[in-house]
Amino acid sequence: MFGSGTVVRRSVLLGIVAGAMAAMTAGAQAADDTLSKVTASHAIVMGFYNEPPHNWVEFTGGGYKGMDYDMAAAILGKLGVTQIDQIAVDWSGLIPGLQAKRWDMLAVGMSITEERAKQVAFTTPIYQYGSALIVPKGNPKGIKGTDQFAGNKIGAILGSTDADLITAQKGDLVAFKSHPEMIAGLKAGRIDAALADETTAGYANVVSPEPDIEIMHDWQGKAARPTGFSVRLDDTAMLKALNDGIAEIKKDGTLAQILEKYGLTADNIVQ
Amino acid sequence: MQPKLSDFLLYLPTLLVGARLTILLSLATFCLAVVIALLVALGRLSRFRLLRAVLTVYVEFIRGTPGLVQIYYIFYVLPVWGLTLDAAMAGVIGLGLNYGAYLSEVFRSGIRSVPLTQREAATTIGLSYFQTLRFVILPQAFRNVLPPTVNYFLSLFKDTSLLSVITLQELTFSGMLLISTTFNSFVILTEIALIYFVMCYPIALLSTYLEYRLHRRSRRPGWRVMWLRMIPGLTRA
Amino acid sequence: MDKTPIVRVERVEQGYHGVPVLRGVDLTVSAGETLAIIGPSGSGKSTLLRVIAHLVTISAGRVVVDNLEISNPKVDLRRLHQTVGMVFQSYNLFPHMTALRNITLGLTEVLGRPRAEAEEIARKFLRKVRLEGKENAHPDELSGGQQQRVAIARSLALNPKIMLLDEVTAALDPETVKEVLVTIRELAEEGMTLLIVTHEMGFAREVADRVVFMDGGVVIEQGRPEKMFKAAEHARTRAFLEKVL
Repeated sequence: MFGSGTVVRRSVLLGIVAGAMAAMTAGAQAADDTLSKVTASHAIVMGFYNEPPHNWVEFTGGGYKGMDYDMAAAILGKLGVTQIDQIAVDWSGLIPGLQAKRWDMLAVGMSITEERAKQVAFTTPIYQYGSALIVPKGNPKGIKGTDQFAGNKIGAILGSTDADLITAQKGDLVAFKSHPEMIAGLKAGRIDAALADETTAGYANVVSPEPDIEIMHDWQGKAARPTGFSVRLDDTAMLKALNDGIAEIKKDGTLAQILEKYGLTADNIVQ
Repeated sequence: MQPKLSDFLLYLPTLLVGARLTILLSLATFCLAVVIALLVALGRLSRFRLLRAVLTVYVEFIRGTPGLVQIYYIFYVLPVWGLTLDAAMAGVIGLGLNYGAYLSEVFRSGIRSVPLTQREAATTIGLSYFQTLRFVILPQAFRNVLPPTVNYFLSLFKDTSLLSVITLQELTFSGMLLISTTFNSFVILTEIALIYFVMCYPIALLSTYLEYRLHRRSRRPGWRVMWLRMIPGLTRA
Repeated sequence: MDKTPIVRVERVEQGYHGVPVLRGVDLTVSAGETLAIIGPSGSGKSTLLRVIAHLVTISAGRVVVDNLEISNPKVDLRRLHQTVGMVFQSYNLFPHMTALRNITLGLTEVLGRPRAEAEEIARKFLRKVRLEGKENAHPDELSGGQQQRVAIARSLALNPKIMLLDEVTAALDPETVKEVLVTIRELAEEGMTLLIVTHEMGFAREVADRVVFMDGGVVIEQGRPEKMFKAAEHARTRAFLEKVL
């Protein structure tokens, strides 16, 4: 019984080792320059964080959706890309995966920050938006802005700029992995308020209205943050091509159309 | 929001695709872990001091760092050093190395629990080291380690959800993606839990059955008895 | 009786973790001889058998078994284990195998006999130790005496020239001791070379060609049983025998 089983397991191990070596070879041969790779293959792989309205995948078979996906598709189309593959990943995995060449580009509505710019190369700012402050119905703790963060439990998505803001304002940060989990936490009383991407918060409330919460778009301390796409730091040719494309969709009105389709306006464009 | 049966059915195909990957990942990882564990256990029981030292460091390092970090490291950090494994490969190897370390301790104590006199008896009838292992030591160790090994499989089965951090859309990650698109967390989380349970319960049942059977070779209870035995308080153990 | 020495033990020393157990043992055994080794606990009797079976290595001296120099690191252990059979106090049967498989294992895996032939041989030896019908019993379904006879059959089936019996009746109930002793006596009568470590003085006296008394890791005295039990030369031998008889 033990003897014959060992033979089977050994062949599985051999398969794994062989596969690993093949994968290593393939990795070593991949071109470093994304632009030439993309123009040659007409295909690109992007990592994305599944969160409407920025990026999401329609599970019933509708394919990829989202404002950032649409913008990337418009720009990449001009570079001759006909096939965009996306890999879903946790927010905290987006940048490491880009650095590890798991994917070649991020178009996920990511805010441009100094810290992130040390890790990845951001394009010129595309559009900007801020966070919404979400509190339970009636706002029992009277939280109206950053002045009330200290001493209260404030939720944010793990690794987001909201999280940094809460910590900087001496709030008691409670990090969540996703927006729905955070809203569930707010309703359950585990946090007193939450900061969330205002596009996400608004869109979520359209799809699944929550009568027990209040979404504040105007609050003390709100700052709109410009967002951009990103590539690896040394991927300068790709960065330039994307910047050119961004300038073009700003100019020809494509960007404004996309923003309006998802509930934002031309005012959100960073000129 | 009222949970609806139609929602349940709507999400099911997507979740079942995830469940299929969970099963495949569990089986591949388990096979790798068993091979690693057996080799490590034998190595640590060998007379080669250096080999023992290296393997001890491996086991203690794995046990001393979180599995999540190990998996993350293989997927995101090794490529920077030039070793790019695809997600499934990275997951199977990462989790396999992890469970291999834990299982090796189970196997090691299982092998050690076979009395030394058995090895002596095997030696006096002329069996070689490998024949002694194959015919005398491992079959007896196998009985000792089977129940805990099945339990480790059960644990591994659920721990494949750790692989969601490296983009593998197994059952848990499939569910999380559905939730972030539909916000229907109540139905989807319930569904995920049910699917896991439906897959794990037979394994737990098998574990109880094997444990019972191995201790009473001659009297084998039927599956129906085992089913009842799983319900606490219904039968006396 | 053939007087060719088949076992030669010369000035053998052996110790566990620095504690000396054998302190220079000399012993010669002729082919076909039946030797009873007696002595108090800790005298080194069992260790001497384990040295001859190559279960422990010696720190000094020389051991030659059937022209195999077993103190030589390059010795052909496979041949040695085919020459020497050993039976233990605690039987040491393989608990996960039937009585029959316990016996056929060495035949098929060490001697390379086909399964059917091995089973035929095993059945023959089970008959010899009066255990026909127990082929498919597992050790835990057999009495101590029955298990010990399976263990003897397991050794005999490999056709050894020398059998080492290490207190084979010490763990048995008094009523089953006899059935094992009958089997051993038959072996002695058939001319097998037997080294028997035992506390059964009556049996030693009756079966042995020669009795060897060990104490403190050395052979104190040896001789024919009548002489040893009636007129031992050494005071230590007499003191031991007075205590146990």
